[in-house]
Amino acid sequence: MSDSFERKLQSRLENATRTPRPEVWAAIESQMAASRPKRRLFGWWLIPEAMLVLVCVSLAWGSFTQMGTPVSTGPLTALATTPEQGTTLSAIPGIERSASSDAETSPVLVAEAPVAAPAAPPTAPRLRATTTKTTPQTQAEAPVNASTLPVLTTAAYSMLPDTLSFKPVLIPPVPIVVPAIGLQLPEPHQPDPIHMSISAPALDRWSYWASMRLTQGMTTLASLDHSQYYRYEPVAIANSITQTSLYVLSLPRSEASLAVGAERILHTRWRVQAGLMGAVSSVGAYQQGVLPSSLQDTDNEGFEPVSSVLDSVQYGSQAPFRVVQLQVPLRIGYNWSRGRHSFTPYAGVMLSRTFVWRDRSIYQQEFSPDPNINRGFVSSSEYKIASFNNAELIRFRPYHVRAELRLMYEYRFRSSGIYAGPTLSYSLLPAYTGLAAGIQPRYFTGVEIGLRWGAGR
Amino acid sequence: MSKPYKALIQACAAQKPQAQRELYQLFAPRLFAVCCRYAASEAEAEDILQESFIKIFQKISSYEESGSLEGWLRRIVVNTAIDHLRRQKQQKNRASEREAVEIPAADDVIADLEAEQLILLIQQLPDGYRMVFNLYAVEGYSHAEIGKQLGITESTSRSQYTRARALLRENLNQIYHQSYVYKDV
Repeated sequence: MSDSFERKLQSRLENATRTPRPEVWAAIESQMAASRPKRRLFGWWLIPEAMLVLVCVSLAWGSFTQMGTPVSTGPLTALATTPEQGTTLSAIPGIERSASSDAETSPVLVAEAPVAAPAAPPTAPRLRATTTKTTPQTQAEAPVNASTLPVLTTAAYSMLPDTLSFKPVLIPPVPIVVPAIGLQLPEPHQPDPIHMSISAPALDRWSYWASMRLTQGMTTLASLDHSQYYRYEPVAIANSITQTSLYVLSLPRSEASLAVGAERILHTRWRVQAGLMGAVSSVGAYQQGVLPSSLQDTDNEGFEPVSSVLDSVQYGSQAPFRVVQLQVPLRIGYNWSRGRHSFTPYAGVMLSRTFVWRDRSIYQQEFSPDPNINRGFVSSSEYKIASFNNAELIRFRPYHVRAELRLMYEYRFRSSGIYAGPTLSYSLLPAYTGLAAGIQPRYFTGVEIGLRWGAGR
Repeated sequence: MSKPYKALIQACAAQKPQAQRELYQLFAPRLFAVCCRYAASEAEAEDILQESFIKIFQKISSYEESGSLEGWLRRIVVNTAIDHLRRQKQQKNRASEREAVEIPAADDVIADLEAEQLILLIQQLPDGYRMVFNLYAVEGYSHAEIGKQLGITESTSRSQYTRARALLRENLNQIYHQSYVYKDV
């Protein structure tokens, strides 16, 4: 027996390869899947995690409801008055075309409200009205302005007549979904919390997630027709009665949402997600106020943009309002993982349906043309303030689509993972359309935190 | 732990399906060639490969730094092949008792044969012979180790190897005559 024979044979066979049929791996894979211990969908560890999520949601909900303390929710009656000399509607770009020299005689909606105490009790003094809504009679008295006023008033009233009476409106309670772990949130406004039992098939490539997200809306649009100001803060100018008083509508939009969903691994690193998300939005506190004369345009072509941070006493009332939405996120992600850590960028769309769109209260701040004098809400003789509720001039689009980007970092432990990361979404459909003005936030930035469990991770 | 595969091994130890698939795709072709040498047919080789990978995935957490990953995997495959054939009790000596005849020309044929052809020739050896032949000639086990592994005496291992080798050379010689001698004519 020669050694060369073995050596030759060995060298020939050492790196020999033969490709097995694909069925071999399929058999191995199925055998491994069968022998893999099935992970429990719910374990004891879920209880503290679920409680943490619920606490976070409660805190978020609380912060929303605390926004904008209501001072007066009493009925507001209105009466017609004539603006002072020099007042005109021509400052509104959309209106100036129809305004005429007879504007002086036209009835204008003005409001006069008592001074609201800084810490007003729930039974705060009602807004005393000195204006009235446009009636056929007042229109008849002011035929010249008939083409203008309906734009500002009649159409607005016909859209949402509720608010004209300023009846207090309670936001319907948001149904809180409690996972089937025996927890229940006591909610005074909510007689029967919805219990949802989550069960899912223990499929190898599926995982399930629950998350909470806080979002803040941003917009790059600033005014009605001033393209050069589009980059300013989220401010819209809604109405003007005189050259010295303006309505300012600000729509910064914040949102808290709670979601559950499922994710499936498509191939190696790709995965798709779908879910159901309940969102409570504070669409913003629309601001009503006046501009100092230095900020006003003098050429009657429009308005200068105004900061939405109305911390000056020169700026007026604030009325926060809410939206409740049901959202359906559909996303695709690509995962990089190393040990227990992984990063997954997701892209997708968020379809949403708006269910509730209500103003919550009217909130009067200190209001004076002179920042040094705290005089409260000025009288009509000093300033003419349009009193219609701007919220009602904004119609809400019930269906809404956003494009969405998320970058999630996940840390895995035991049979689950906790993830968090920033989100960015862009509104593909305008959220609002307004008669006077409505600037919708187009960009939404947020932070999301969530849990994932299931085999397909 | 071999560095290039450290992450892969850790992921496999964590029973990640993706990592298992990756490990399989990396090493299956080489290990399947090993299986083919020990098995009498391709179907049997597939059985051995499947059984081996199940063991690999179950035991990969016990893999340590000593030795290469491929060496460790090969050992598992070889041991699985031995167990498999022993379990099936297919170690029947079907070889003829002919004495081995040294045919020098066969050595030259090895270099010209494709590895796959060689594997096919080895597969044609009787089960017991094939096992001893693979362990001794290819894996480099000693006859004492082979005897211990297969539960046979050292001398039996030697004699089986001699016969296996002779059979293989005979087959190689046939190929040599078919391809080289015939070509010359």
